Amino acid sequence: MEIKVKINGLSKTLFASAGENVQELLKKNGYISVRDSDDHAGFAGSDAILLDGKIVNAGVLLAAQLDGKEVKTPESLSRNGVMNYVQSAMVDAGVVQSAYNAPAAALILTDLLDRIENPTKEEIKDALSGIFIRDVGYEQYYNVIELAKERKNNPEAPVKNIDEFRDDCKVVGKTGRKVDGPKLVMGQKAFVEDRVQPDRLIVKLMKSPHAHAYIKSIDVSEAEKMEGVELVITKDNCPDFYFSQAGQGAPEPSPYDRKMFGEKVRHVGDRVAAVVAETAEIALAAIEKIKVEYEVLKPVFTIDEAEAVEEIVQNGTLVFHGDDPDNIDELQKGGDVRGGEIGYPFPIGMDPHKNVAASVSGGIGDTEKGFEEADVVIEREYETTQIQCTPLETHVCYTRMEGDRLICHSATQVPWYVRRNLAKILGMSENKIQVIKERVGGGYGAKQDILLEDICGFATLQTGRPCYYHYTREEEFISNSTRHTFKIKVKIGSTKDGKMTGIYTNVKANTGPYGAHCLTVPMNACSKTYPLLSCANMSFDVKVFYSNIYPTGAYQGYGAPQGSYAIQMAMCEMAKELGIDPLDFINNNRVTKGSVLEILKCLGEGTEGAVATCDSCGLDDALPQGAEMINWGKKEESDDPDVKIGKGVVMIQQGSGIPGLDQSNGRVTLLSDGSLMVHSGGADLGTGLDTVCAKIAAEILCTDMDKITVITGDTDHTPFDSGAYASSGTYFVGNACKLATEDLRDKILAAAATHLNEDVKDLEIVAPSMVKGKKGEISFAAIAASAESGSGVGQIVGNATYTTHDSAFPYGAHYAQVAVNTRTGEIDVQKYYALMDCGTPINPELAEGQVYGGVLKTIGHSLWENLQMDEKGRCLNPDLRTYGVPMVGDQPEDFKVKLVYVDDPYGPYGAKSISECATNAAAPVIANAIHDAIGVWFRKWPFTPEKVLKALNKID
Amino acid sequence: MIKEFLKPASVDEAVSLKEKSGAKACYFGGGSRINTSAHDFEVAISLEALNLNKIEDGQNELVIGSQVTLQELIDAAGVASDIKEAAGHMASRHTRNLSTIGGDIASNIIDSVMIPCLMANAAVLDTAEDGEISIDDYISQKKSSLIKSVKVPKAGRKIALKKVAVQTHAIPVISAAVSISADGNDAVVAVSGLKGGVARLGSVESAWVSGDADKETIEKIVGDAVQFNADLQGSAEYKTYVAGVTIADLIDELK
Repeated sequence: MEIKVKINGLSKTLFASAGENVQELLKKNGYISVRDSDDHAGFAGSDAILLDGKIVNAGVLLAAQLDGKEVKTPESLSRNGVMNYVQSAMVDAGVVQSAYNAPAAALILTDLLDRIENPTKEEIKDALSGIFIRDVGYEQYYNVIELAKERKNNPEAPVKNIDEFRDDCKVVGKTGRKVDGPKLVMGQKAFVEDRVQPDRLIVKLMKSPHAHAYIKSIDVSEAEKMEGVELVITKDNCPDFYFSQAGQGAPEPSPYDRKMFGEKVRHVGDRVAAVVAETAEIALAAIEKIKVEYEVLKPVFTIDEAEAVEEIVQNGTLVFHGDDPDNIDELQKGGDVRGGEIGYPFPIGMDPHKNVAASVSGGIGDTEKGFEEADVVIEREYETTQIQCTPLETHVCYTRMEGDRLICHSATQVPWYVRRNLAKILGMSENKIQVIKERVGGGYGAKQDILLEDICGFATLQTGRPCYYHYTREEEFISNSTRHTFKIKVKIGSTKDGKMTGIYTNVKANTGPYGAHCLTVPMNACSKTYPLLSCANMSFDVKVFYSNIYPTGAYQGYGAPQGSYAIQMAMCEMAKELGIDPLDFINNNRVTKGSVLEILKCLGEGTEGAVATCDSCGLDDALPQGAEMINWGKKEESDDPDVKIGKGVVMIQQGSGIPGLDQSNGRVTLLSDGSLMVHSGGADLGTGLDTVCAKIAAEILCTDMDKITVITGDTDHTPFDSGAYASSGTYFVGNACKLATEDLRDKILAAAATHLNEDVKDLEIVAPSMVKGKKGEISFAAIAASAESGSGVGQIVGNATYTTHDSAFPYGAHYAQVAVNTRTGEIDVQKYYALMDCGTPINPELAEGQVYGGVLKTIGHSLWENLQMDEKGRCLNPDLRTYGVPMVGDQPEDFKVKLVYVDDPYGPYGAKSISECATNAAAPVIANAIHDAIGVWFRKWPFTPEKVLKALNKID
Repeated sequence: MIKEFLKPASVDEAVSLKEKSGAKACYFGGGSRINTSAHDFEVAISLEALNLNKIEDGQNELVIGSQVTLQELIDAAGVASDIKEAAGHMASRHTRNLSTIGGDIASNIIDSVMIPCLMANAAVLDTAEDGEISIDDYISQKKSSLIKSVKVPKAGRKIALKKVAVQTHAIPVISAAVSISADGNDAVVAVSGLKGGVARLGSVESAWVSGDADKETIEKIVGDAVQFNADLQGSAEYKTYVAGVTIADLIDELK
């Protein structure tokens, strides 16, 4: 039908079927900022538009509903590449990070300020009630509104209410415009989906309906005959190459236990076949025509079932890429060639035919002796459930050919890993593949794995056509990676005055059908918790099991949230047992600056670990500051006799990359006019890593940020980087950029010395982009012009590689106050204060946002989020609403983040990592506060009203 | 999938189109529910041009056009606070801007917040095919007639309601609304989320009117009167308990 509609002030006639989805229609017509995050469920709000002046979700409208109407999309807000006052406030207040639906948020807030000049907090919450924001949460949006109100009349109004750091620096530690912020908030082309050309083919997966089965036969003949079907890929025609989806350094510590399509399916949603067709509709119709005969096997879901070994999930042939272990004959028992192959770059304590994916044990001192010396010993067990990253942008990949080269546009955290593995899987050399990491609309660990690139790449090679695959939200839940479920036993011994004499932790983890990150994630339950403790006797056993739950993998925090939940709770339980204030117990047993972290020698990630020293620690400040903020020690009372109030405190830590394993490279080039080009392999996931690089270069070379461009994450054009995981960005990429910039600085100074005929030691870099000596001065532009002339030394470039064995640990102290209604079971997190030591916060507003986002995610994990399946392994809640992500009305009423400055000797300008660490506290601190309120320990998340009522014997 | 989108100019035309198209057609308000649910409808009969989007504040009743959106209810003067509160429990402003009160009633979802609230208000629906019909009958008889307006008597009833959900956007565990007439002789206790959807609890209403049931007794009577399915929102036992304490507290609030 013909639809007459005014869009962004222009009268248009669109042609569409009456029932066509409006989000898709607008996108097709060039309004790319109207995005879909929820399969048009009307929940996430990435598709917000104004329809006759009212904010609605385009994805829940039919094309026919537009006829005669006026529509405004986020594109209406900016003109000629200039942001409106709300957009600029969003960027400068730090909320434009992964930014997939930042354009929608800008439209929503502009609408709010058009309706209400001076909105209240409740009115702001109401405006944000229809948008799901995962990266930074919602708290900073109140500051956005304050700034936007000022900028409506004064576009230059400065950002307020954000602490700044480092008086000795001009841009490091200061608020400053995120370099990619404007284009993201204005909805310009930035994401993979924005690169897709009309001649693309669409890829869709046929997924397993069974949790555990062999594919006895598969008949794709009817599907292949369909008009518009270009290719069907199955186990019979895919590359015979086994790999791990887990993107880590080479060689990956995870087992190579899957190929593109196998003979065995291991979870509901597992790959059975791919159809590559002209349209999604044709692909889906073709999938319906594929006939598959399964031999259904008994599924294994729990750790207990896996340990029973009645069924073997990974029963293929073991292959060792190094030396065979002595017990290989024993390990091979129970195998079946139909289970494929399981390759190991090196042994990881595996016994897959007993469902053991990996195991490791270790310790320092003598734990048993420690328990003997204790006055009190407690042993507790904790359990966590399966939760999902839920990035606003689901997994997406677009591949195409340029000559004989495969170009892969990917929303990935690990472009170099993608190239390395694509080359192996597709049988190509790496020079024939370019991986371009586009802006990533939320990673959180989920995009640390290859999920689509292998299939898309193969499809493009086979058809010669561009191929595009964008996961639906349901696929994102069931065919992706999630947080491992853990069972953790903690045994602690303590003297009666509260000094720990020993701790033992037994971690059993459920890795699901494949072993992606199966060793390293569970190990983090110990490696990111034990080094917090000053205890001479510490030991652990970690064992990881295969099963048929949905795949697991990396998720922000990477095993530390589960470990922290168990150990911080156990410490609080011990404190209560001893009658000691939990804060005192923490202080009695924590590290301080200078502590030698001996335990790290047995906590390497697939390699031997190394002892490290705690050379900076913000806990000394964070713990007392938080205690003061929350009135620690004061018992709060509610007016409602049914409501009991309690408080909790925990300490947390993380790492900054993986010293000894990670590597980053940087290159900084002096351009002809004196401006700078920074090239880094680092993958900015929206967290501001590109801005970190720009700020460091600006600081060292006294150059305006506007004169620096940062290019990252492109395997053709930028130098190598291990990838964005393990909180490595600021520390590794930042240090590589710092070293490269310093290399360039030295070369500039050497050139200037020649020009000015002065000693290098008499020269200094001064703003703007000048070298000043005792006798004269010269601009970078003049130096570049000379270097690039026919008699010059050549283009001046600074290069650096950063590897290290030094560790920079971020720390945090989190406090919560909860109110529990003993009549209804309702739990209200009234206050949450997160005090974080990330060394120097190079981008303070972005760092704060990541803490707000990390904490809110994990409040969600603690109270609501829970991926649930039925007895056959079918997902019961594969959508954002029923899964339970937090919305603006769910966050604590009093929610504060405070960055505690500490100068780290190894981080660039003293910086350490931030965002992962923030996810380690919510579960234990809320659980501890609940106990303080009602005397009940919640040893399994999520903590629900029904569980409260059961614990209080109100229901059975 | 909707293939045809019809825009009748009158209620009669809308009814006629529905009769002609049969089961494959549906009345279509804002579309927030139809467009987000699985259905077999092919023809949408839009109610947009029927002039059913007014709120008339009469002496004895408030007449709410069926195409008034939930957000318009919240923003309008003269609408009772309990109805605004019920509308506000649709947590997303985006959805409230699309979702109409008529559509909310007609979709008759089992966890509705608005329907118990309107039952507590003794609301009457003016429909095209069935004339005036109480909301109780419309719901219990699973009517699908075109709702023209919702008539809310200004009878001086005291009303209280509560949605119980673990999050603002979560599917409610239950929703309950209770009301009592000024003379205390006529009570309404309506609850959603039950196995059969939304219903009134006659035994609880009688106990309330009798005046000698304390909170604990009310909880027990509710427990005997309700039946829930276990689902993601909780076990049947949990829901039964929550229904009991919620209704007992609401009644206590009005005493």
